Amino acid sequence: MRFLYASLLLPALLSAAPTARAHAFLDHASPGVGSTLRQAPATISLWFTQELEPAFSTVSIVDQGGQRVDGGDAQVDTRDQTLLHASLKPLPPGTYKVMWRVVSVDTHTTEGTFTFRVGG
Amino acid sequence: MQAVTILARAIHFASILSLTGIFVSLAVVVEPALARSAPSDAPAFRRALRRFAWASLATALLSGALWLMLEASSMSGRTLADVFSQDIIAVVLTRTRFGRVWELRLTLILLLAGLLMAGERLGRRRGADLLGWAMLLLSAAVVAALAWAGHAGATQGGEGEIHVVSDALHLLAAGAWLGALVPLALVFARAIGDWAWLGVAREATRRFSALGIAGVGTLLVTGTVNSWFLVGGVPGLLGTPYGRLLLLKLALFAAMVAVAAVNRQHLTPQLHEGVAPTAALQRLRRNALIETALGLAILMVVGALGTEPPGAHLPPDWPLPFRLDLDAFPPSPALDREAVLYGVGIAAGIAALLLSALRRRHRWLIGAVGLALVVGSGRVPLAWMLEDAYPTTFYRSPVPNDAPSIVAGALHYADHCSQCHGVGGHGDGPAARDLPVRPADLTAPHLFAHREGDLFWWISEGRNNGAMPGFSDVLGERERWEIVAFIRARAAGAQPNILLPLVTPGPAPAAPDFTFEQAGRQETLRAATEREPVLLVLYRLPGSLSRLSALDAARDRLERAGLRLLAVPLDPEAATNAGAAAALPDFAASTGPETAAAYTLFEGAGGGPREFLVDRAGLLRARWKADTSIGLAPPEELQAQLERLARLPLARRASHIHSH
Repeated sequence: MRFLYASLLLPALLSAAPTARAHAFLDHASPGVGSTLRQAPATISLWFTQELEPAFSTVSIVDQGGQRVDGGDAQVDTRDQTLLHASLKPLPPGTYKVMWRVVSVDTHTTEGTFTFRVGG
Repeated sequence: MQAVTILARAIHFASILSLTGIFVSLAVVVEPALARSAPSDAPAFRRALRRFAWASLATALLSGALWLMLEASSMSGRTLADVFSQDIIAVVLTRTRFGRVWELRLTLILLLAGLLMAGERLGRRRGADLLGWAMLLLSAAVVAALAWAGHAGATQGGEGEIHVVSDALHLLAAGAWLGALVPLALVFARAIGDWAWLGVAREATRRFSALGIAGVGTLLVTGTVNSWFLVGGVPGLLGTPYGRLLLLKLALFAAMVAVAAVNRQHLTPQLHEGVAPTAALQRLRRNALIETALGLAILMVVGALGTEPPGAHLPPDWPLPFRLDLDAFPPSPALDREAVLYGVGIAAGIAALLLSALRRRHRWLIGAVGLALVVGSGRVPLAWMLEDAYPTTFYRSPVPNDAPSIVAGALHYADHCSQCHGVGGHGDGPAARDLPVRPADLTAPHLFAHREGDLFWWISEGRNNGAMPGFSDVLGERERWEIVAFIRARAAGAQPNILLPLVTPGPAPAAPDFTFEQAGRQETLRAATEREPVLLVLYRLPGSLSRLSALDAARDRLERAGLRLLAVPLDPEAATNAGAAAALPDFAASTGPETAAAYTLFEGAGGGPREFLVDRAGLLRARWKADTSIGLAPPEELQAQLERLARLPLARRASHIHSH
């Protein structure tokens, strides 16, 4: 009988499972990861693969000189808990580094960085 | 820190499972057994169990508090000292899901302490059973609530509800089975040498056996469901730390079940034979303690599992040189009939094996025939399904399928790959003639039989004993993944008859994503297509102006039909020319030069303006070329194709996980 059970379970285990979501990873962002924009964006939005803990999730953006260029108002969206956004100061052309650190609702911390360019 | 967290978690699990187990045991095993034959020292036994409950409760409270502090420190990224001095605990308790679950659980534990104290006063008077059930429910709630604070609580949507319920049932079943072992061992201990307890031990064993079977069955089913969500499949099981810990847990679980089977099949019958089955009682008690020890080992593994990222979310390092590919079965429709024959052979073999297990007559002969049938018939289909595999086979690309990545990959390809594989990828580069093995044609449909992780491995480590060199020293990881993105996009674009001027079911290439600015707003194609299908118009000035104004005239009608228009220049320089820009309709967008470059991979024969219908899964469903006899689609035709599109089932959108 055990063999029967095993043969029943095997195909299930071999095929692809639903996309599991635990630990919040960056799904996509606007401005996009590594993207180049003509116009300076007024806000930055990061979508994660999982709901975030607002109290411990943040993002900051710096220019090449390491100066903060975000409004210091990073927060998790009240309606979409997978979305983290912050306002941006007027950005002159250049490369900007986005640094995020988020805690997912299952308590795990993840962090990462990416850059985007404005102009040229 | 990690070790302390694992230990705190394990101790907390052990104490709350023990707590639930005691109340379950009292309700359905011990009290009913005592009701049948009450030995005179039953009150002393109840007191012992109650003391054990108090010890479990105190341990649960302390380990729960420790776990909370460690978690607060980890979430906030501060030291334990900071956690105390800066009120971080309060923030965690009131403003995080974990904290709110903890508030509830700690409250329930305190309430349980109150009931336990009331129970001391009440003794065996009226209402004691009711109080027992109340304590059982409270302790079960303490256990089940954990599901909402862990990995399961983070699974989203309807799947999330299934996962959380399954996890809660898993915890409860563990409590009912594992937690009730210690009270049972205590009953055995009493019965050794005190034959007034033999009847209690017999009845308790009978009742525990039923509880155990229900528990093990629930653990198996819910464990499979949980693994489905968290491990995702065989690669996650074999190739990630989480999966390997889970295998260890399964091995320990199998050992526990084996001991339980010995108890049930051999020792329980002995317990019912004779008047003084001392040996059976001693073995049963020993086995209950062995099972408890195995259970504690499992809880240590569980303590570690919760701190590891689930296997489904990590690139799994595949340990085997092959993999099973069920999609490769059968390899061609022509072999369908043959595949059915092999299936019948395997089924007959399995039937024979089952028969040999059930019958004694000719057991070995039937078994041998069955085995020969299974092996003989299974060999060929297995060979069909076996594919070469590499450590990175199940890696998923950290590079998004977007225009900038594809163009970056094309540049690396030109520098490092085109000498042998050729500019067009047909394996006909200038250096190809001198090679012992012909370079692969990277536009062949066969490319899609390989996973992106396979391509990544070959680019990194080489192929055919170095005939193709590896590039892991020359190119960074990201660069190699960009080459994979480029090769796959080019091969998808090179397949004949995939992109037709009408919507067809079946495979469709993924549209490279890109960022664009339209009417002053920045957006991505991906975000746009998530809302509605997009007609992506690649235009060239001034030739395309009449087409653009024709689309503009039909725009309201098309938008009402649910189609969004998005025009992107093939030549961005010309499009920004002031005079031309003024004449453009406002669905014209500006975007980086990579966009037009990436979409040339999908332009097919000829060149010039192209229009693509991108569905809500982000797939290129149809293509129209300006320079062919069919030409671009008039608005009515677009509407007709949109209706065809609406009737197709929507593919599941591939989620890209970016580097972190």
